[in-house]
Amino acid sequence: MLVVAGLVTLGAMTSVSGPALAHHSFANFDKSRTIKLKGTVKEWQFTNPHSWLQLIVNEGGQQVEYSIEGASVNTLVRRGWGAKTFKPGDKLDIVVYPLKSGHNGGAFLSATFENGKTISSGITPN
Amino acid sequence: MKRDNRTVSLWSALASAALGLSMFAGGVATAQTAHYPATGPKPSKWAGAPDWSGIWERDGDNVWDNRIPPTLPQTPPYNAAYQKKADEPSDAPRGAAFHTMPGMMNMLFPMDLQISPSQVTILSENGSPRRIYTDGRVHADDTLPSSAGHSVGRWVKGELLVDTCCVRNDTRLPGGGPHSESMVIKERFYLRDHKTLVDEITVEDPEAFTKPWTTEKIWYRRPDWESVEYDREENDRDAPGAAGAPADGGRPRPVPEY
Repeated sequence: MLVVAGLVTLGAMTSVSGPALAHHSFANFDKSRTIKLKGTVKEWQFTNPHSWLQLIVNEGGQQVEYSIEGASVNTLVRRGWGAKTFKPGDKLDIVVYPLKSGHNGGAFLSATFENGKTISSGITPN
Repeated sequence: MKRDNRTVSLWSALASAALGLSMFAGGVATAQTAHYPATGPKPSKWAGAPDWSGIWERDGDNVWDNRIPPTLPQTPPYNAAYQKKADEPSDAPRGAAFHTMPGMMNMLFPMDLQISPSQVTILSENGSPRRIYTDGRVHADDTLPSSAGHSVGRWVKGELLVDTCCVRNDTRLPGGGPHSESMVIKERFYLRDHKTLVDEITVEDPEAFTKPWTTEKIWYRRPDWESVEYDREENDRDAPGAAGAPADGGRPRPVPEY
């Protein structure tokens, strides 16, 4: 349910023609499809202008690092996120918009922890 | 100040010549000097104004007018000449409208509003402050154009009425459209209820528009929030790759917009 809400919310944000995410073009992401990744957190960079989740994904025995781009500190902190939202070693299932370039990265949509808890960067209720 | 040029001392004359400051030469007001009516400064009667100081959360997404679905164009009624300019590609960096009036009232992050008898200050986490003078000063013929323009306001029955002129004419409106140096922005800030602040914005620009147009931004009081730093250089990394190193050798860096 939360995952769906997150997808819908971010989908709505990115459909806005420019203003919402204009400061850092998300045009390099393929918003027509989402992909799921299962991996282990290497590093969580809770930073501006955007946050980054470094995720190690096992692909056919190879440990591959993905860079997942998220919203700004200023936006996420008001949705309850913080520098400790993800810890190295956390096992996650995440959903992202993939990079058009095919490189190992994506735009963050949602993450589900081992305990089943899912978080997404939805809009804060007023 | 009344000056008698005959009494100007040698030192003042020398200083004037050395520094080239016109103010020594006869009391001519400079462009950045506050201008007041002949009666002088007169702080606005703000005692009855609501206490709006604090952090406010923008309603919805940062589209220009929340009443218009984000998929629809939001353009003012340009006359033919300015419509042609609006249709041309803009040299202005994308996102620049967030830093100029009236687009800066569509700010990306929360608004920190601070009120004093002589000034209302609007702080954004990713931009310069906006100052609305409420001490009786007026616009001047030689007010320097600036991104935020020159704003004077007055409190009337608990509402803040603001008049802004002198926005640089190379700035763009939300959506990328142009305006002329004749643009005047009139705002009415009022509380819809204790938690809800409305900024009703009317843009008048007879050179660019066929008629004035009005929009509104809505803000919600957030006493549980505090300001957060926004340093866009903190981690302005490229995607993707291990620990932020560009996997493809890096793509051209975009022009900083915030």
